[in-house]
Order: sequence, then structure tokens, then C-alpha cells
Amino acid sequence: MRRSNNPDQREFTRFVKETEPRLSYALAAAYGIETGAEATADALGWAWEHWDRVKGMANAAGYLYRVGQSKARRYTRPRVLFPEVAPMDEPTVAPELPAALDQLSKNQRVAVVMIHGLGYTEREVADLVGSSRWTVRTHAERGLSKLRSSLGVTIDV
Amino acid sequence: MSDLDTQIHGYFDANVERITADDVFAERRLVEQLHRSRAGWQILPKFAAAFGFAVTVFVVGGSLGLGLALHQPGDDAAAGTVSYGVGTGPPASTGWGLLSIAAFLAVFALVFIVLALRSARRNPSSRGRE
Repeated sequence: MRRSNNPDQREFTRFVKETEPRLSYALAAAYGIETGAEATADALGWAWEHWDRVKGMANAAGYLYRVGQSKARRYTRPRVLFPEVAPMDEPTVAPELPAALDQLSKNQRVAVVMIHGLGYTEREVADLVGSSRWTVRTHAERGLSKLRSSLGVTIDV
Repeated sequence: MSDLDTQIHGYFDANVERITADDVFAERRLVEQLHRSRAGWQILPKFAAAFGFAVTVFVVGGSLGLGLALHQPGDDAAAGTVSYGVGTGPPASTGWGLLSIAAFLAVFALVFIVLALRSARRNPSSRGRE
């Protein structure tokens, strides 16, 4: 690993530590695991290339999410957005979860995964995806209800 | 089986590939290397291409003209000596003069094109990044 040796690199490294998780998870939820990773890498690469501009942005994560979205659209949609649950995860994750996630709309998936799965606030998700807090809440509620019915879950145990 | 929130968290945690700043720097370096290796074949800037074209036309056209002129016998051919000339000056010196100008322009064009290529290899957006 190469150590960051200039102020821009150090600042960018801090920025990535702070922004990357939100971006990675949101783009993975929206476009699938594989395309999400590619889009995140592209968006962060773009951020480094235009760092002078990005570092001054008030909502850089939101901007990069949109960059990631436009990059993701260039990739062909993979046949499977969400791969099967690995055998080692099976005791904790239902094998039907990937297919159930695939049935949600893109916005519902992002809202459910970010808010319910990863604990981000509605405000944080709204800032990231560029929607209002109420829209995000609606997507999360509808998505969660759809997910529960797909998985046959009525009450979380 | 865990609750739905934990399942979603577990699934994404296990499957999402995380990216670090070092990955971004490494990818950028790779892109720059690729860019540099391709730069040798990039189209020249318009002004350099136009200049190169003009010089080529001048050199090729001038050489052909010179060649034709040198192979045209002079008026004193009938006197037993073959004299080659362009215009009224001494034939040999005029020919050599034109050839040196053409050679100079060709070398100048070559140097110019090489310099233009070298400048095209530099990526302005990467300055100060690494």
C-alpha cells in the first residue's frame, strides 16, 4: 500500500472513508452487487479526477451518486442483480432474500437497504438520492412491506 | 433466522465490494499508463497536422519539380556539355540550395511533429495529483 504523500491525496482518502460506504451500498442496492461496485469505482475515480471541484461541493456524496447512476446505465444489466446467499450466510440470511430484493423497484430497494438494513437516516438517504425525506420514507415503507410479503414474514423475530 | 433488517445488513455486508482511496489511486495510475501508451498514436492537434501536411506537400512537390528541372537539358546541350539548371543561376548550386531548404523544412517538420506528440502524451488533468 502506498502512503498518501500530498494534501490532496490525504483529503481524498478521508473523503473516501466517509463517503464510500453510503455510495457503495446505495449503488449496489439500486443496480445490483456487480454493477454497483463498478459504478462506485467509476464515481470515485471521477471524484479524484475532478477533486478540485468535488472537494468544494456541499453535497458531494449526492453528486457522486448521480455520477454513479449515469455510469451504471452504461453497463448491461446483469442477469442476476443479487447473487445467491453464500452457504456460510444461510443460517442468518434467508435464501429467498436476493430474489425478493429483485422484485422491488430501484428506489424502494435503496430506501429499504439503506434505512432498514444499514441504519442510515431518512434525511441521509434523501440527500444521497436527491429526493425529499417523505418520498424516501414512502419508498422504504412500501418496499419493506413488499419484501415482507415476498419472504412470508409478518413480524420480525 | 434473524430479523429482516439483520438479514439485509448481513447480505449486503457479505456481498458488497468495498473500495478504498488506494484502489482509486491505483486505477488512476493504470488509466494514465494506458493513456500514455496510446498517446503515441493519437491524432495530432489540428495546427500541427495542417503544418505537417503543408510541409509534406511542399517537400514532395518541390522535390518532384526539382527532379524534373534537373533532368531537363539546358540550351547548351548541343555544344556537347550537359548542363542542368533552374532559372539562370549556376545549376548545381541552385539545386543544392533548394535541396537544403527542403531538407531543413523536412527536419523542422519532423521535430515539430515529435514535439507535438510529446505534448499530447501529457495529461493535463493529472498534473499535481500524484
